[in-house]
Amino acid sequence: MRFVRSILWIFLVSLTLSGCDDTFLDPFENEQRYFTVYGFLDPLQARQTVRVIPVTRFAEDIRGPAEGQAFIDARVYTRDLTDSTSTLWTHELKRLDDGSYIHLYHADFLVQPGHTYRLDVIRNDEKRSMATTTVPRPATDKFVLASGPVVRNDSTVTQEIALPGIPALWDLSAVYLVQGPDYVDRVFVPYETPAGPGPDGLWKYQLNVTADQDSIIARAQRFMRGRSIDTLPVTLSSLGVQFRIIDTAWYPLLVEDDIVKLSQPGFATNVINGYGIFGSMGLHREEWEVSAQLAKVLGYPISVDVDAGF
Amino acid sequence: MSAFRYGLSILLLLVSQDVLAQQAILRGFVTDASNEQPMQGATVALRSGDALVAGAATDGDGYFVINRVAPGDYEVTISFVGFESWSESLSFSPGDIRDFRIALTMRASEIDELVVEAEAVGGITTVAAGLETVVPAAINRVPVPGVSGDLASYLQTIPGVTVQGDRGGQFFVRGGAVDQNLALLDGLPVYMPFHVLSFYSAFPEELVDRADFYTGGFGAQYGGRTSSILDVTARNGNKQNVAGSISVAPFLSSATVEGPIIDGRVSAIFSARQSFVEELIPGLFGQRMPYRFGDRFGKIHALLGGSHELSFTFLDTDDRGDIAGSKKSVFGENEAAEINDSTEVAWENRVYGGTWIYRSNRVPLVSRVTAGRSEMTNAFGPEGSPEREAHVESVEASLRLSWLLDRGDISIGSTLRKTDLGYTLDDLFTEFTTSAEDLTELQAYAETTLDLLGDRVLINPGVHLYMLTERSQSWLEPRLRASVWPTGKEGRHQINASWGIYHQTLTGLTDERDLGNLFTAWITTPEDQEAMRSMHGILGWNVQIQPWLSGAVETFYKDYDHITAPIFSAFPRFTTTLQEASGAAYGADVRLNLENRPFLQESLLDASVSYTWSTVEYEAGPYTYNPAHDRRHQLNALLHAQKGDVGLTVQWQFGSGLPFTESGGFDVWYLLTPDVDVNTEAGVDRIVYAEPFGGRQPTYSRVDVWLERRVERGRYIGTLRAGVLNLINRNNLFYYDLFTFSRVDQLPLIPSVGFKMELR
Repeated sequence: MRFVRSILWIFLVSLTLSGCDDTFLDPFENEQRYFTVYGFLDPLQARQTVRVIPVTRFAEDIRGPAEGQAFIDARVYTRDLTDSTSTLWTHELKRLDDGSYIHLYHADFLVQPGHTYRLDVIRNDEKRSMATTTVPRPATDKFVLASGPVVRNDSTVTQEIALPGIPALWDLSAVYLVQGPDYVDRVFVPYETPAGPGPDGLWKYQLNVTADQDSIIARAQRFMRGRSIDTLPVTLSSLGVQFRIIDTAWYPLLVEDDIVKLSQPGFATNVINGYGIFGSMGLHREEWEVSAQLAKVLGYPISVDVDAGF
Repeated sequence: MSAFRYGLSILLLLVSQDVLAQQAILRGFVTDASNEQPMQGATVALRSGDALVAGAATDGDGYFVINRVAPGDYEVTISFVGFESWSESLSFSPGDIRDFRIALTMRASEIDELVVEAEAVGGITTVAAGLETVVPAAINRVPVPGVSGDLASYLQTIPGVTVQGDRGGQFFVRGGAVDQNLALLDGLPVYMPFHVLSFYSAFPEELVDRADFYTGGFGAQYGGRTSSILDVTARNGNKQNVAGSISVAPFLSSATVEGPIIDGRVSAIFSARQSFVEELIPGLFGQRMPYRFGDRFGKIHALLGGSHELSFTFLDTDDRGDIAGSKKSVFGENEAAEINDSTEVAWENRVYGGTWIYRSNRVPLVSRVTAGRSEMTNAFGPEGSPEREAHVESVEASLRLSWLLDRGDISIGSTLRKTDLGYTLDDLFTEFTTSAEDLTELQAYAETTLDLLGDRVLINPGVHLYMLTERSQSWLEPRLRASVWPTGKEGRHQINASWGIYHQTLTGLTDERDLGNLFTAWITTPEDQEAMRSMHGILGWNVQIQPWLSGAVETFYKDYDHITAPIFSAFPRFTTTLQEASGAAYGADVRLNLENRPFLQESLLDASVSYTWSTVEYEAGPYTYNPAHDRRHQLNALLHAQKGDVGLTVQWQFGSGLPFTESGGFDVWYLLTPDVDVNTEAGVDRIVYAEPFGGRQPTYSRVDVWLERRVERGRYIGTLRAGVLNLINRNNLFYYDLFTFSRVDQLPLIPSVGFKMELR
C-alpha cells in the first residue's frame, strides 16, 4: 500500500510541476545577422545602387509608405580603402511595378578600377553588416590580338581576340566606331561568353566583323529615322572590344548551377553579419584603327538605306 | 553463405530427431470455438492417473506438441481460463502420432476472468525484445475520446513511441522516421494506418484479434522497413451467433456486426466508423475542429474441411482535416493575425486481399498464402484543388511455410510485391513536379524458433533476403532474437535480446522542418544511391517483482546509413532535392506494471508507468542535428481504479520538447548576376533558418480523465464513458508557423461523452 501511495504522490507532484511549466517560446533566433545586401558597383553607372533588407522575424512586405516596414533603421556608407574617402548613401523607398516597396540606397561616384570599397550598413544600435569588394581589372594593360583580321573564302572577315590575365570574365562586346555626315556612333555587339579560359589561360573570341555590319546598319537606320534621312554613307573608323570582369564575390555563382544550393542564405555571400552579395565589376575597353585596306574589304563606306532589310 | 548452410544443417538435424523418435507423439491445434481463431497459451496436460506426465502450451498458431510419450493410457486435458476444458482418454502405442484439432467453448459466466487473463497476456510488460503483443483487452485499458479503445492510443503508451501531436497520425518508433514503419493488416500493408486525430487508427479494439508491435529488432519474417513493424491480425467474426456493437460519441461513432453465415463454418464481421467532431464540436474553447475521418472494415472467414481456412479482408479509410486547426500569434491569442492559409491534408487507404491457411493433419505443417492490394493517396491543399498529391499502390503475394517442432518451429517464406508510386506537386514547390515509378521487391526468409536448455533459452535466428528485381540489387540480412529465463520460465527474470540488419528502398519524403506538414511523397531510393540500411540491437530485462508488480528495462540502439532526406532549403516549399543522411538512435526505457492491487473502498487498482530516455542524431551534409522526433524524455502513466461496474482512468503523458528549426528571420534572395537590376526587380522572399533543429519546443504534458460505467444484462452490455481530454487545459505546442509567426497548439480541454451497446 505504501508503494501504491508513493506512486500516486510522485504522479501528482510531477503532474503539478508539468502543468505549471511555461509553453511559450519565441522561435526567432538571430543575434548575428542584421542585413541582407544585394548590389554591385558598376563602372558603367555614375549612380551606384544597393538593396538593403533588414533580417527580421517578419518577411518584408511593404504595401504603402506609411507602413511600419517602410521605415528602415539603417545607414549605409562606403569607404574607399584605397584613397580613404567615405560616402554616405541616400535612402529611397522605391515603388516597384507590382505595387510593393523596397529599400534602396544610392550613391553618386565613379567606380575606380583596382580600388577596394567597404560597404557598411549600420543600425542605430551600431550593429552592422559589412562587405568588401575590390573592383577588378585585367592583370595586363593590353590584351592580345591573336591573329587577323582574316578574310575567308566567302569574303567573310573575322578577327580573333584573346584576353590574358582575366580570372572571371562576365561579358564582351565588339565595339565599332562608325561615322557619317553629322553621325558618330559606337556600336556594341555582344558576344556569348565562353565557360572559361582555355588551357593557356586565354579567353578567346572570334569576332565576325562582316556579320556585325547588320548591327551597325540597324543603329544607323534608327538614327536616320529620327532625322528623316533616306540614305547615309557610313565609314568604319575603329574596331575594338569592351569587356567586364567580375570580382571574387561572384565566383561561387560561376561554379554552382543548383538553384537550391545557390539560394541558401549562407551560400555565396560576402556580407559579414548578414547575407547577400556586394560585388563590383571592372570595365575595360580597347579600340584600334581600321586600316583602309580592311575597310575596303568590308565594303566601307557603305550606303545605308533607311528601309533596307538584311 | 557457409554460415547459412551450417545453420540449416543444424535445423535439419533437429527435425530428424523428431522423425527418429520411437516414442509416441501428441500434437494438435486449439482454437476458440466462437470464431475458430487459434488460441495462444492454452494448457495441454497429459496425466496418467493423478500424476501429471507432460504438459505443453499452445503457440501463436494454437499449436502444441508433446513428444516422447511413453506407450500407455493417459487422460489428455486442454484448458484455457474462461473456457470449458476438453478431456479425453487416450491409449498410446510405440510410434503413435496423434493429431488433434480442438475447439474450446467459452464459459459464459466467466467472461470477466477471460478479460483479466487477456490483460495479463497482453499487458504493458514486454515478453520479448522490442515486441509488444497487444490484445483487445489491453487496447481497451487506454481510454480515448469515445467508448471503444483504439490501437493508436495504446501504441502511444509504449516506451519509445513518439507522436508529434494529437493530430496527424505520425508515429516515430525508437528513433525511426514515419516512413520506416510498416503496418500490416492480415499480412497486407496499410501505408497510413493512423487517423488525422492521433488517438485513432484503422484498428479499433473490436476488430483486433492480436497485434504484434516490434519497436525494432524484428525477425526474419519482415523486411523492407528499417524501424518498426505493426502486424495486426483482424478478428474473424463470431461463427456461433450474431453479435455486434453500436457506439455513439462525437469524436468517433461506430457500428460493428458479426456472425455466422454458415454456422460454425463461415463468419463475417463488418465495421464502420465515422467522426462527427467537425459538426458537433465546431469551435469548442476557441479551437476549431475541422477533422473528418472514418473507416470501413470487412472480413469473411471460412473453415474449409478440417485443415483449410480462407479469409478475405477489406479496409477503407479516409481522413481530411486542417492540421493547423486554430492558429494564434506566438505572442498571445489577442495579437493573432488573420491567417487564411490552408494546411488541409487528406489521405485515403484501401486494402483488400485474401489469406489461405492450411494446417496439415498428417504432418506438423502450417502454410499460409496471402495475396492482396494496398493503396494510399495523399493530398495537401484545399479540397478539389490540392497543391500536392501523391499515391502509392502495391500488389503482392506471400507464402509462409512453418514446420512445427517439438520445441519450436522452422519457417520459410517469400513475398513478391510490385509497387507503383508517384506524386504531382505544384510548380511552386519543387523542381520536379511529377514523378511516376515502380518497384518490384522479392523478399525471402528462413527462420527458426527453438527452445533450448530445458526451455530456459528461446532463440529465433533467421535470415532475410531482400531483392530488387529490376535493379539486380540484393541484400542478405541476418536476424537474431533470443530470450533467456535464468531460473526457468516460472522464475522471476527474463532477459531478451534482438539484433538484425535491415534495408529499405521506399522512402516517404516529408519536409522534416515542417511539423505541420503531413504530406508524404513516396519515392524509391535513387539508383545512384545505396539503399537505406539500419542495424538494430536491443537488450532487455523483465522481472516479476511481486505477483502484482512487474518491471522491465530495455535498451536499444539503431544506426542508420543512406537515409534519403530532403535538403535544407531556404524556401517555404516541399523539395525533392535529396541528400544522403546517416544517423543513430539509442536509449533505454523503464517500466513498472501494477495489476489488480486492492485500493481504497475495496476497489482494485491497475497502474503502469514507463519512462524513456532516448537520443536521435542525424548527419546530413555539413549538419549534425537531432531530428524533429528526438524526444529525449518521455513519461507515460496510466492509473485505473475499478470498483464494481465503475472504472476511473487517469492518463498522463509527458514529453520533453521536440527539436525544431528556429527562424533566423526573413530576407530576399536574388540570383545576382550583373544583368540583375535591383532597382526594378523584387527578388524572392526567403526564410533564413537558424541552425537545423537547433531549437527545442516547450515540454508536452497532457492529463486525460475518464469515468466509465458498464452494465451487463445477459448478452447485452452497455457502457457509458465520460471524460475530459487535457484536463489542465495546457497549451501544448504542436508547431510554429514561422511564416506567419503563429503557433498551433494541440487540443485544448475537451469534454467527451459516449455510449456503447454491445451484443455478445
